[in-house]
Amino acid sequence: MAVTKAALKELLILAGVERAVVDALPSDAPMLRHGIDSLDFPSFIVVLEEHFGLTIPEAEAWELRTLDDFAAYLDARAPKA
Amino acid sequence: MDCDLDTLLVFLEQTGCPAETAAALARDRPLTAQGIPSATGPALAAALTEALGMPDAPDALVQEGSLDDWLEFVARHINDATLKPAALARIVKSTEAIPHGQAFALDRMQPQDAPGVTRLFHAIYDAHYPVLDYYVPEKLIALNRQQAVLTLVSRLETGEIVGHGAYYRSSPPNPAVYEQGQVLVNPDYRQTSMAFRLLRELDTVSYAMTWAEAFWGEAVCNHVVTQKSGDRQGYTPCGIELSLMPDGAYAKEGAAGRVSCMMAFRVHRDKPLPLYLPEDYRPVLEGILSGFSLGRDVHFSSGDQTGCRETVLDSRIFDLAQVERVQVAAVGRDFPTHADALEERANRLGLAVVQVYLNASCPGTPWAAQTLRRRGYVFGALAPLWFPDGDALMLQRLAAEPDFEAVKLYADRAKAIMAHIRQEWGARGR
Repeated sequence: MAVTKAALKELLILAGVERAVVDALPSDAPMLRHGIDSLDFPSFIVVLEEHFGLTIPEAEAWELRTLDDFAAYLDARAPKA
Repeated sequence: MDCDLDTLLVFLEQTGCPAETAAALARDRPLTAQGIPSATGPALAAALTEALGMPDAPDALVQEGSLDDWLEFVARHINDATLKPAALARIVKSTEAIPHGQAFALDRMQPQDAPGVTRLFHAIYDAHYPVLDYYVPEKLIALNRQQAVLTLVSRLETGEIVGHGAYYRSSPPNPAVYEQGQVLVNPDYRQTSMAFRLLRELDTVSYAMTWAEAFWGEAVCNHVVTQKSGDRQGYTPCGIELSLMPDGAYAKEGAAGRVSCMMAFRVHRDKPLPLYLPEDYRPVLEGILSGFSLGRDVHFSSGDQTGCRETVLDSRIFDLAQVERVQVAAVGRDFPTHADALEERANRLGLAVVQVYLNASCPGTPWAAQTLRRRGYVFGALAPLWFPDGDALMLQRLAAEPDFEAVKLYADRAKAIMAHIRQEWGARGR
């Protein structure tokens, strides 16, 4: 099952990011340049790990810059949820 | 740094004495008379010399000393001026390159992690961390056993320590109140989620600390990331500590001049307490109290009731920061005399900040607050459970006008506190 951008946006909100920031976030733009800060980003990684039941290695996590990157990465990792 | 019995016992364990044997030793009997091998004395003396810079122990102590004898010897000779170079030399001697890009795991500090923690403090602060305890592994182990500190580490598979976070007893006189902080990450691991994961794990640990009444933190105000983290962990803003951190402390983050901090608390185990507060501060204090669920018998008054006993006061000066923190456990009629002495000392020493924490369970607290305000102090914080028997009302005296514009705040409650302080600052002397 493909991971949708809408689902990722809901997980960003679960990670504590304000809805207005999430709503304005383009899926193909670097998240850290669109209101996601150094606290939001690791929080999002942890939420993804818990939601999909996987571990995202640090080196790989920091290569993922956009929501599209995350969707492709998670699709390739065969998420459980 | 002091070396108490628990720390001495850790040193004894380092010589090969099993922990359970060490814990069962009588303090006043020679160690050799309690089954401790005669080789232990020389080993203990050597360990104390290497770690703490102690002079050679006398033969009688080495051969027939009891724990009390060793403690007396250490107390007589321990000295930060000789301890610090010895401790740092030991750290440098044991320092090896940290492997890059390894997986890490979070855990409570184990005794074997303590040298790695001291190396991490040294890697980040060099010789400048103001508390020497963090350069002495045995002291750190003892503090954890005493529950004065709860240390979390981030450990590589190779055993090296690359991250640290802690709860620790700090300024509050109430030992059941812990500060959250000391989140350190090895520079080679900063481009990871380690700091976030440490804070998250600390949060989990806090709920298992069944003896703790409250947790608190001081978030710097040159950015809002730390404040935001505290907000997400359920910490409630309760004060602004203006100009707390010294000039240059955060220069690498682009901060010019002294940096203010936002104080926030999370109360886990409240207890009913009386709360005597100044009427003039009612709006800001009610705003703070609305963020907590505290069982308080609140009395606002204009400060016409003086203290009824002698003032009980303790203070500590933080030389590097030019800050004095004064703990007023009880407000007495003689409080103005103490306030005058604080003024004189602050001027003489050129202190940038004086913070006075008044025990707000004393009916004389509103009067003491007025006494301070007449000397130019302004509101600082309402800190729940700060004292074992009361909350603290903190007022602060600043040697220079703070850079209000540089104070960045995240939460609305913090902004409301700041608005009050700024208004009060502007109205001083009018």
